[in-house]
Amino acid sequence: MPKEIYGWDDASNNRWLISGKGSAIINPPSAWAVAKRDRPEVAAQCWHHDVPRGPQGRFRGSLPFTWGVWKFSKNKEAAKALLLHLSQKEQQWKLIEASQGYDTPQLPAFYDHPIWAEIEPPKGGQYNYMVRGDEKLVVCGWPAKPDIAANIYKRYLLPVMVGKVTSGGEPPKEAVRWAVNELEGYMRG
Amino acid sequence: MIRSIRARRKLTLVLCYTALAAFMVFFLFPPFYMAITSFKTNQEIESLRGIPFLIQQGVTLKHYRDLFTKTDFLLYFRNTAIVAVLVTLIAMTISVLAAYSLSRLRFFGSVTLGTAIFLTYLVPETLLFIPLFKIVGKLGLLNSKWSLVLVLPTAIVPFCTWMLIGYFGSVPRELDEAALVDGANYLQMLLRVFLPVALPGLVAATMFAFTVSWASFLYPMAFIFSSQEQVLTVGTVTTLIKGDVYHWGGLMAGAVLACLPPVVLYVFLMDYYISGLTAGATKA
Amino acid sequence: MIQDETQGEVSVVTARPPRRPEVAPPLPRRAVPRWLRSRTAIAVAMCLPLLLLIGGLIAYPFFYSIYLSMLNKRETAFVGLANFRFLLRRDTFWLVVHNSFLFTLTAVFFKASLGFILALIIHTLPERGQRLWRGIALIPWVMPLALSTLGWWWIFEPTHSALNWILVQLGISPKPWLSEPGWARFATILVNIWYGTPFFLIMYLAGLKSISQELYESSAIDGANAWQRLRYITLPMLKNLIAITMLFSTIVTFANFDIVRVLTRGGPRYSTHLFGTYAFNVGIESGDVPLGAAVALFMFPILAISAFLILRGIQRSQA
Repeated sequence: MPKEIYGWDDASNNRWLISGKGSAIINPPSAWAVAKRDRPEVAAQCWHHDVPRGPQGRFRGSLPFTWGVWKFSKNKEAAKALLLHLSQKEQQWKLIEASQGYDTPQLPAFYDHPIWAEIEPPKGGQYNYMVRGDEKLVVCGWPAKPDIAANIYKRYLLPVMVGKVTSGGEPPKEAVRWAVNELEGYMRG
Repeated sequence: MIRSIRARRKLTLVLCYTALAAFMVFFLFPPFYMAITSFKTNQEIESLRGIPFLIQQGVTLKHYRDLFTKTDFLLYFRNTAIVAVLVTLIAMTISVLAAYSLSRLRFFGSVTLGTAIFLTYLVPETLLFIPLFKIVGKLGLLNSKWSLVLVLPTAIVPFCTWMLIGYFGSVPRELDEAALVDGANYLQMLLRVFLPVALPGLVAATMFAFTVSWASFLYPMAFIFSSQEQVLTVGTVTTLIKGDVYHWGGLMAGAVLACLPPVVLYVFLMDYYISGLTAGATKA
Repeated sequence: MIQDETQGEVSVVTARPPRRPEVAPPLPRRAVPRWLRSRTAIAVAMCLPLLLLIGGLIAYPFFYSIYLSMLNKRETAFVGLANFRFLLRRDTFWLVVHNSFLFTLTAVFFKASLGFILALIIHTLPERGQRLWRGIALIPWVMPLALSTLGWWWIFEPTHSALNWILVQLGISPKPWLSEPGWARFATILVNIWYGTPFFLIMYLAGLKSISQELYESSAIDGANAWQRLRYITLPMLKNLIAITMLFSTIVTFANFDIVRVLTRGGPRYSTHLFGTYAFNVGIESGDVPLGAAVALFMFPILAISAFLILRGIQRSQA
């Protein structure tokens, strides 16, 4: 891996791939979409495959988003009606198409959209982008409670801890001690 | 002897121009590179071949077109303009009145007030944004551009007042006192006699107020989260970035356009601005 | 502003308009007693908006911030100084303290030195060109900082860095600008120097113009060389200006937010976080308002002490 990854933003892996410097990234199909747009010759050589299975099973990172209505909302009924409307199949399919399959619906009932069978390359290689088998989705910070998990995510606890060892040359024990010290801060009442 | 002095002067000048050129390249490189990138095609931006500082695969206006047709850029622009103009008006009114009072009319407590203005520098906006976040929330102004109109003058008024006190000091005192003795009231005197003479200082302070409110970043970042109310700085830096796809061409086009108003204004009012800025500080 | 209330009339030297001689003394006050009475009222009324602004939107939030910093995370209980004690036990907080000092001291030192050198250079050039050079040099200071930093980000971008392209052309290996703590700190400081040097330049240039040419002429007759003129005339004459400019710059640099927020977001590994960006991360992004307020409040004593030291320096030199 290049040294620069510690300074990467969300899109750096895409750029790294299509610049020709990088050969493998873990990513939804957006990298391929960018390649198709900007560097067709790289897109022609792209290939997708599932996350490999380890001894404990198949794990994949995920970033769930939720919709909700605040307790203090002025117009709760209308908001609920809107959410219900957006959760109908027709609207959900529009959203899926708009993001070219990048954003996935939460309800398995919408998994039958053909887009994941169509995305290339190889054709159908993204079919399992939706969890259809025994893959386990892992959310950053899980199984901590939501407010602490949110802190773990927002303050980059895990990348920083790993980076301290892999890039900063600190012993793993020291990095874990640091992370514990940080976590105390997130957990204070 | 004369000749050698002339030769030395020439050598000094050559050295000076060389160093100056280096500084100018340093200062102008970022805006130049931003502008160049904004006219490149996506293919050329992503390509690692070629010279980054030249456009070799054709100029495109696509990024600018997309900015106006596919993003909320114009909305941000309008919001920023509204906020900057209102904040400038409010801040200038407060500063002019206070600066006149403090530089001309000595009164009980004016020294304390002068010190208080100075003390506000020790409370920068990076310290104020958290309590102001709560206060703005209580006022029901969170996620509204009016919150910026309310709080931004705090970042501007102290420096503007200070600048104007410095400038007003250079206006001869007999001018306004004569007007007052002739029977004008304070408002007439300020508007008709004093301010026209102090115009260069006013222009500089206005320019400063406008630049600062146009460039504000922390407050909108903390107070505003919906696109409808967002301003240019935060809008360009955050919402033009779509998920994990960065359109560098579009980002640079947005940044260039958003920088234009203060820079253009500055180009026209440069001399006023610089003389006003330095007026306060060069007191012996 | 800092001195003139106590010293009465102080002549002001500006770049333009030219210095005006003090002609007549102010009107004798006893001659118009009624006028004097209303004069005080008017003076206070004119300052009223300023007072309201300082009181309502600076002083009140400041004290409110102290109150906030003494609450627990949920803002339900008063915990005294526990938040401050808590911070002092965090490695990350001490890293932020270290970063902020490194950032401020290095950036202000280079801004002041480069600004001074550039002011001397421009001052040496023929008069007619000076206006143009001074005007161009101030452009970084006029551009909105968050947006120009976005441009710098693109210059430092890991895969496509234009700076690395230059380095490679020169036969130097590319640098991990934003991904190694050392280089990332260098990058944030460089952007700050780029942004702040022009301010020092115009202040110093105005100062240089205000020094009487006769001083230099008479010293030249006495045989002083260029270095001696700089050391014994220019620097002493500009001492107060240098101090005031450094004071302003120290405060603004220490409280910087935009550069780090846009360029590195505090990374890699928190090595570029400053008080402002860390307070934002803790207080707004992570929802711990009291702790965020506590982080930001640490800036106040540091700024107050540096201001005190610099101002005392000025007063001493005048005594």
